[in-house]
Amino acid sequence: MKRIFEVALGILAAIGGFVDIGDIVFNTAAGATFGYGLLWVVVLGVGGIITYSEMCGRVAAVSKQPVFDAVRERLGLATGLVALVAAQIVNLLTLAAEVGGIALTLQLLSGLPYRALILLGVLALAVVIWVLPFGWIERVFGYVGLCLLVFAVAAIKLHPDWGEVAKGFVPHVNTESPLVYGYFAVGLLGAAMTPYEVYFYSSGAVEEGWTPKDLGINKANAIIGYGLGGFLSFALMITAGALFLPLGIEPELLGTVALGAEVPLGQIGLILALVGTLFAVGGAAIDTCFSGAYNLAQFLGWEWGKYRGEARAPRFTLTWLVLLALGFCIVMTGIDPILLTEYSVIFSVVALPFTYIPILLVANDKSHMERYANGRVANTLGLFYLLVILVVSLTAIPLMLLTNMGQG
Amino acid sequence: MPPGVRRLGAVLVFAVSLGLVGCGSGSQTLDATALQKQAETVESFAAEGALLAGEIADGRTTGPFAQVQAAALTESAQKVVDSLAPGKAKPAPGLANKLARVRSQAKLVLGWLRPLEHANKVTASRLQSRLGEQASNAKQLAESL
Amino acid sequence: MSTSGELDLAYGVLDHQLVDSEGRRCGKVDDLELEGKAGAELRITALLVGPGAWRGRLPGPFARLAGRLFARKLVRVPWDVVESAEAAVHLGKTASELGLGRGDDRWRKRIARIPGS
Repeated sequence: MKRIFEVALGILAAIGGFVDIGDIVFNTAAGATFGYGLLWVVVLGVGGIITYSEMCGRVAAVSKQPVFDAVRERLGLATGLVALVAAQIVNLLTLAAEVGGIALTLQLLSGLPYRALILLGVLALAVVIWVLPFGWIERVFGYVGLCLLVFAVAAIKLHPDWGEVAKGFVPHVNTESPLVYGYFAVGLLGAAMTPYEVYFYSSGAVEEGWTPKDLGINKANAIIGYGLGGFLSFALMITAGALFLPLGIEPELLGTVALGAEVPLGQIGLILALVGTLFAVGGAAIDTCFSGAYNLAQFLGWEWGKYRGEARAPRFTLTWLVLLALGFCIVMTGIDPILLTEYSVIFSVVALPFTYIPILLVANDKSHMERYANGRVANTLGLFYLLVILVVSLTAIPLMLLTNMGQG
Repeated sequence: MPPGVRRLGAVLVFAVSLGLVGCGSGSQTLDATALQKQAETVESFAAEGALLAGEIADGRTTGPFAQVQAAALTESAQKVVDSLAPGKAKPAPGLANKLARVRSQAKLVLGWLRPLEHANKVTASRLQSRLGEQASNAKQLAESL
Repeated sequence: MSTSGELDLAYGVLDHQLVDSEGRRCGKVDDLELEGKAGAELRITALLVGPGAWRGRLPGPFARLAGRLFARKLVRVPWDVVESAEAAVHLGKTASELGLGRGDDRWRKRIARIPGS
């Protein structure tokens, strides 16, 4: 009974933790541009993150190897270093985007000046990470992030054409503006399969001391947790499609997203949307920051992990502190966080194959995985998504340039 | 981390940031599609302004949110007006008139957005109708381009 | 060691995590020291750890760049200290005895000064 409770709590944290600033921006923009037509892409993306995380979690539980351990081992030093540099750049961009998102949300809640809130946000993150144990961080941010379910209520209250919504789940291509459609598809897939989520998930498995006995939890977290998390993405897109598209509103501000909950539900909708965003994005900032530290430490062989304690993994600790400071600096330059978010999602799509391929290889390696290596289902899905990831990775930048970031 | 790595990291971050900030600035030649896009953007600001004004008038927002969002909308609209200024924007041949129409539409919308930041319920209600009108106007303008 | 008694050096040892006798992570196997002549039997004599070791595995210009950014530190871990080599390479001595993990040692005192660590 206690076990089921634990599993349920873990799933709740995964749902609330699924959405980050990239998902918020892309799902809302996609809904405002194409209505419900891209819902099937979100399903595809959720399938991808489930497949990828389940593999990473299994690899971490069985061979105690998180992602960048496997990357260095399988790709070797030189190629692995390229993967590391690419991952770190993308991670840093994503971190900055999340920090910017935190500051924007705090500003919408408080009215205080943006720049001061960047500092406040970063300091608060540092204190939270320092003081709270690993499990608590995930749970607190995950649970409050569930406030974003307000968008599910909002979507229903806006009375969308459910027939049209259903059609959106059927894979199809928009023939009127195929390039812009393609750009959004790539962005949605990138936002759903953000690499830092996977680095964090696999390192988290080691932080929590997972063993082969926990493979059931791994599957539950990945399938149910991320599956239901995708549900939040649907809610964002449907809300935008029902409210913004008919009015001709092109959301370019974070506050516009919150309007989506406020119009049907009033002040309480607004506050839940903002608080949910704050904690979802805040949690994502922490995950991204830690991912950068995990990647570097795991590649170079340093001691790592919050569970070791700050003093026993000093270089790891120093790394996440420095990354947080760098993220702060980037946001302080005044760059638009929404623009930064779009860049970070697109670039992370380009870097995705570098870390996906080593995991697929290790997950199949019987000497590491013994009888827990990929079975037929995992490999079929694994190869299918490898194809998807390669296609998306190659088309991301051309589409971004051709459509001028989705402006058409 | 050794100082060398930190320095390299700082340079990298600076370069990336600079690149990102630099992107998207500079004057452009506007063809028909680009002009239509600008008109649609103006329509979007007007429509959102009308939506926000309506919510403020009904007392459904919070003070800080209304103020911050209105200010952000105004700033975005200002950027569009600036980018369409005679010095900045070069119309493709034959489009000078159309550019002028989009420019004046943008200025109109900006004019009705500015007071939204400190509007009370009564003012917001008025602004809602004005911005709603401008949204339709901008929409018609975009469709005619 | 794997059950067949053989050890794939490239996949089984190189670039793997080093773990000392106390379970502490203390670096990666950055290079291998091998003994023997061409055509004769090759024996592994030591693991090499540190920038001085992995520098040489990068292509020319990057090796030089690495040389300028990082010290040329290299720690030699004799092969007989290795207890097992699976996902991680487990060593029979502590990191301090072997001269590994010095980077963490250097930073430990400064981080420990921050309250709550």
